[in-house]
Amino acid sequence: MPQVFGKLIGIDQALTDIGVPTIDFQLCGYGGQTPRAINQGAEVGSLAQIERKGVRITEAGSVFRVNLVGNDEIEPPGTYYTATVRNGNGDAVQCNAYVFNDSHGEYDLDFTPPYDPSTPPPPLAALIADYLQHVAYSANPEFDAAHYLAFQIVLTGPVLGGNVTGVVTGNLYTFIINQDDVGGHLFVWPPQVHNAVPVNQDPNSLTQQTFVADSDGNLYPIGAGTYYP
Amino acid sequence: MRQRQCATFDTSMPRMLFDGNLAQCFMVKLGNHARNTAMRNISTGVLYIFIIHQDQTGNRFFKWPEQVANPSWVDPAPSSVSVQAFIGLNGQLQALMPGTWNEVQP
Repeated sequence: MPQVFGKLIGIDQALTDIGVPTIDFQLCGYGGQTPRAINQGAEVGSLAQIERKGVRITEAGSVFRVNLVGNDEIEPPGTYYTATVRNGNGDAVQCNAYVFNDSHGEYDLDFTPPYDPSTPPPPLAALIADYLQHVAYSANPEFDAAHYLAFQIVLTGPVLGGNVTGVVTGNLYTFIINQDDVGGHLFVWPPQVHNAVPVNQDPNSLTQQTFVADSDGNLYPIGAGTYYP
Repeated sequence: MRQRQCATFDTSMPRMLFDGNLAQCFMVKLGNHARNTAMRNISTGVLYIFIIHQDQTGNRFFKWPEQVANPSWVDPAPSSVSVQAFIGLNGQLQALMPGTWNEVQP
C-alpha cells in the first residue's frame, strides 16, 4: 500500500485549545480533468478513500500521515489537494492547497504551499471576457480572429473586401454588421468567408451570422444569417 | 486564443470515433463512404460542430453516428462542404439548427 505523508506548515498558533481537530481533504483535478487513481481504474473523487493515520494536530508544525487506500498512482499530473483543519465545532481554522511532488518519491505529498503565503496569489483571469472586436469602418477592414470571436462594424460606406487574419481552427466567429442611418452600403464578405447571407442594406439594420473555421482557414456558416429589424 | 479544439478525420480510417473529450469540432474529409462512425463522451450543454467535405468526386455517403439526432443530409455535390451544429443533451447530439451546404470550395 503506497503511503503518503506530509508536514502541515503555516500554522502559527498552538491548536491545543480548539478541541479535537479534524482534517478534511479534497482532491482537485488539474486542467479540468477528473482526478483518477490509475492501476486501479477507480475514480477517486475525494479523499474519503484515503486512510488517515496519526492525524493528531496539536501545535504548529505537527506531522500527520495518510495512506492512499489501494491506489498506486494519481493522475493527471498536477492534481492538487486541499486540506482543511477544523476545530471541534467543525469550524475551519486553516485551509491550504498542495500539489503532488514526485521529487521525494511518487507517492509523497508535498505540503509546501505552491506559493509564498506572505505574498497574495496572482489574480484569477476574468470569467467574463470581451471577445467582440469593434472594427472601424474602412473599405478593406481587417478582422482579427486571433484575439476576437465576434466582429461588429458599422457601415458608413461600402466594404469592398476585407480580410480575416489569425483564424483558429474549430472556433466559432460571429459577424455583426450594422448599416448607418443612411443605409444602402454594400458589404463584400472577406474571401475566407463562404456561403454567407447577403447583408441587409436597410438604414440602421443589423445582419448577423456565425461561422466555424476549418483547418484551411475557411469560415463556413453554421446556420442561416439573421436580420434586425 | 484557442477556445475550441478541432479534430480531423478522413475515410482512410477504418472507424471514425468522434470523442467529445478531445474536441468540440470535427472535420471529416470524405474520399470514400464513411459508414463506421461513433461518438462518445458527449457533454450536456456543449456545442459540437461537424464540417464534412466531399472530395472532387462527390456522392460519398456519411453515416451520422447513432448518437446524433435529427441531422441534415450531407451534401453529395463534389467539393461541397456541409456544416451542422449540435448541442449535447443526455448522451446525444441534438441538431441545433438546420445545417448549411456550401457548394463551392476554393
